[in-house]
Amino acid sequence: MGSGSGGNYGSVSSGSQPYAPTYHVVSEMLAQDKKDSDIYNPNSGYPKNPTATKLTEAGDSGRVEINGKRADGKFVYVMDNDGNIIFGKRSNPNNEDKRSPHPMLIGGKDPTVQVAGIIEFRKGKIYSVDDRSGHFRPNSKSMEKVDEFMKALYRRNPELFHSKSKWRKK
Amino acid sequence: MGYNENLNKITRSLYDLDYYDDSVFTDETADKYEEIAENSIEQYGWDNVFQSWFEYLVKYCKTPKEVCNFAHLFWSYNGQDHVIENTYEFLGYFYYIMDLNPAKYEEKYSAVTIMDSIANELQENAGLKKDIWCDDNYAPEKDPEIIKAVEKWRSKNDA
Repeated sequence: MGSGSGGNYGSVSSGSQPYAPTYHVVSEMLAQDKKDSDIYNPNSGYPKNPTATKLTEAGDSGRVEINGKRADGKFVYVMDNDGNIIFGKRSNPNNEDKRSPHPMLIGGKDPTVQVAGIIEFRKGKIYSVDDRSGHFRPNSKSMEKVDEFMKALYRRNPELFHSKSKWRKK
Repeated sequence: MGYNENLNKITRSLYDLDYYDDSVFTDETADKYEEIAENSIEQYGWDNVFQSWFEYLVKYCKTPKEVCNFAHLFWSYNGQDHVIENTYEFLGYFYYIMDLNPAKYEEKYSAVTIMDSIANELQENAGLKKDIWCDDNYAPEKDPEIIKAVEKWRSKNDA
């Protein structure tokens, strides 16, 4: 038993980039994406994930929603250069057989982020976050920024957090 | 009332709920039924509870909406935190009902999101896959193991 996310934020340190204020897409992933027109356009770069949503704007009703529905499950997220947490569905708008990688939450030719990973919601409440992103591979130290973000959000809006989330349990 | 009958009654109360009806699956209801699910696992053990849930799935969930409803409730009751032995048989049923095309049901029922979540978690828990979430290209419905499981459901039910 155990999901591996048990501590409410996990870290994948193997293969991560050295700590930096912001991260670019790792070169091998960028090269791979450039061969896939559903993920990268030579003129405009990564298309924007149409479901990309700022976390702070997704919880007016006491629960987190995306596209008007309760958020449940695991979603890709990034912290952008302005410190916003942006999350979105993995569905690829250009090809339903594929998924949308993290850079599509920002879009453009050279998207940069402070952190990227997976955010989990249970019953529309924030449950956990981690730094699992094959495209950005952020250093686990960057998760401190997400932790600070979540603490601040919890102070403003505690009902958005699952009762078993680390921020609510404190 | 026998042991299985009691457990199956609890299972029906858990999964007869309409996840998509906000007037039914309110925050209060979600919390209440999550607690009922947790208590039943404590009382009967995960293996028995899962068996009962799986039987419910196959017996009562015959449409994409019904399997997506089950999937969301399974997630709300933290089923994804556990290890199940017949992972592909279980996952295969959802994709069998959705004809290996969850994208068709994403807009209405968030099928891709919830099924990616459950499939990835259960496979990692069972040690069948590692670091799936780092692979942005992974789609369960394209996984040969899932497809094989779907084929088994097809040959069993569609023959």
